[in-house]
Amino acid sequence: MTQNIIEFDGLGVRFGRHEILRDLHGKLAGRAIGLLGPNGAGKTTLIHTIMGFHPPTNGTARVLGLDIRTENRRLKSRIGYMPERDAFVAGMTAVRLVRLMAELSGLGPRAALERAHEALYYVGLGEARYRKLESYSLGMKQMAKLAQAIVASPSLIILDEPTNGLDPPHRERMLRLIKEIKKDGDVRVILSSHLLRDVEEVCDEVMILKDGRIASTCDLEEERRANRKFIEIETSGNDESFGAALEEMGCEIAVLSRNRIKTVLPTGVEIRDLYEIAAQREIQIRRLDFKRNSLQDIFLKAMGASSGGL
Amino acid sequence: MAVYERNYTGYDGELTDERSRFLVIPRFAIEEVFKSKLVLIFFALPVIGTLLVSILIYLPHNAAVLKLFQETSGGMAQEFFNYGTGFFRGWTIYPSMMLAFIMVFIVGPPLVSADLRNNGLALYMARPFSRWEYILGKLAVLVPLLAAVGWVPSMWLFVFQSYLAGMDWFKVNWRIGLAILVGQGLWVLFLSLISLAISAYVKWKPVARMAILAVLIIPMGAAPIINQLLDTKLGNVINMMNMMLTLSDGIMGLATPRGFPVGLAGFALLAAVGLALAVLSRKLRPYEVVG
Repeated sequence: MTQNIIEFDGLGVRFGRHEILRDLHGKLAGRAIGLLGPNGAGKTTLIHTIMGFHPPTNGTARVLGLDIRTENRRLKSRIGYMPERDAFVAGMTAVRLVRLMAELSGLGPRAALERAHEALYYVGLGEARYRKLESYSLGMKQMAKLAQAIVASPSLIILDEPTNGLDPPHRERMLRLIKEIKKDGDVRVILSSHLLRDVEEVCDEVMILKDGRIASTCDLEEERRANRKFIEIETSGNDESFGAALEEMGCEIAVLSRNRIKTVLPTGVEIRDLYEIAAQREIQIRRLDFKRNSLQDIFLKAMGASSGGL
Repeated sequence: MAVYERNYTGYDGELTDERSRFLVIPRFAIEEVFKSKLVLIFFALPVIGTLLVSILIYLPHNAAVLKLFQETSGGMAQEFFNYGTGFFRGWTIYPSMMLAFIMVFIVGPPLVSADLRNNGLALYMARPFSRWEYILGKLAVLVPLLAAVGWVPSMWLFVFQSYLAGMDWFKVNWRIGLAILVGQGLWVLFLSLISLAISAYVKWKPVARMAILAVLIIPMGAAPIINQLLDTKLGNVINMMNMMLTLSDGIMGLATPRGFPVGLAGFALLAAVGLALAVLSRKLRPYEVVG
């Protein structure tokens, strides 16, 4: 049975009169969970609440089976956190900072030093590990933050906008590292980002926040499997009869425009069958694309559904 | 595992005791502190000073020196070597107080501002490590350093004088030891917390230093003005150096400046300590919520 990573139980957070998170309910169990939402949706506040930086106003949540209100210290001993903003101690070299953080997580001085070197080599900062962090580029600082998050071997790594401000090569590297870390059987990842591509690339489950509420949750793996025969067809000719013929074959269809149809093929129906039907009705198939519901579709649908528009 | 192998591996070794993890902070900080030559110089000053005062204390207990001094001073030796409250106030308590102040001025601000300036505190607090452990860790850097330049030399001189002068002197002057123990102890705690609080508030080392100076020096001038304007002596409560000396004088049984109540001086110092803790509690947060 898959262990739930996060279970929300009416979690709410309020700063003064502003309600940032409202009555969150639900469970997430993916190996890599994406937190999506527009700016101000409450992603970072949710992460801070999990980390114990802000106390919940209502309800609670359980992360890795531990209550964030009452077992926060135990929880933090199992989490590695990479903050969104710059976070380092002025005047320290990378290896010294990562070692300090490892020791504060409970590693002995010798093990901490060894792991600090390993973590920095792992993220690609091996040659720069004795440089002061102030002298690092933005990409290097992001990698150093990742190194301090993984140094003590956490069960859950929370990454808040890890690719923010990175150039394409650094972004690729960061995502590759996260995927590699995720492959390790013991590590789970929560990735907060407003970049849909990053989440789509790394995560297998997504929670979309809007105005402090859960607008949608989605098992990306399931979506990928379910939509493997989702096809977009552009035709020329008698489109209505073509659509009707597809429905007769048991296909689900959606007419996008006069010449464009979206369809999901049922088991047993192949692409060749579509061409045969088209030929019988003297319809030209101008374009045929295999598609699946992209995360962008899911995201936009969630945004629309919760606001009643779009 | 060799460090050049780029694989992510878990750690399954032993973990240290959570209760003693705050001691990681002083271990890292002390290394940084002693990289500064200025700190080394200020650390050497009290050692030299203590050595000189120790010699001064020893002189009347050396028969040859005492005889020579009596012959040359025309009978003034007895008066000169009368080491009591006045001697300890002038030669140990006051200099120690100033040295502790200079030390905290140099060492205090970088301890916290370096962490807060670039949001480093979030990294500490993301671990099983509380704000109060963080403060305890920083105090574990400052308190021993300040005690080493003030409290310890003063106490050593008192013990040395008691040892040489004997039990009769100790019975008469035991309050000096108490004044050093309580007064200097409270002064070290006050300076440590006030420097941490100011550094946490302004988050910038040079400004924190200026603010520490301002908080301790400006009231020295402002207190008499308040006293004069309001025809009171309560203006002194803002002058912490004065409060410290009042407390020490009171414990030693000396007349306090302008007859200021000793209890009120102690209360003022404790209130300042409480205020510093309140500021630390408010400002030492991984993220500030601006509402």
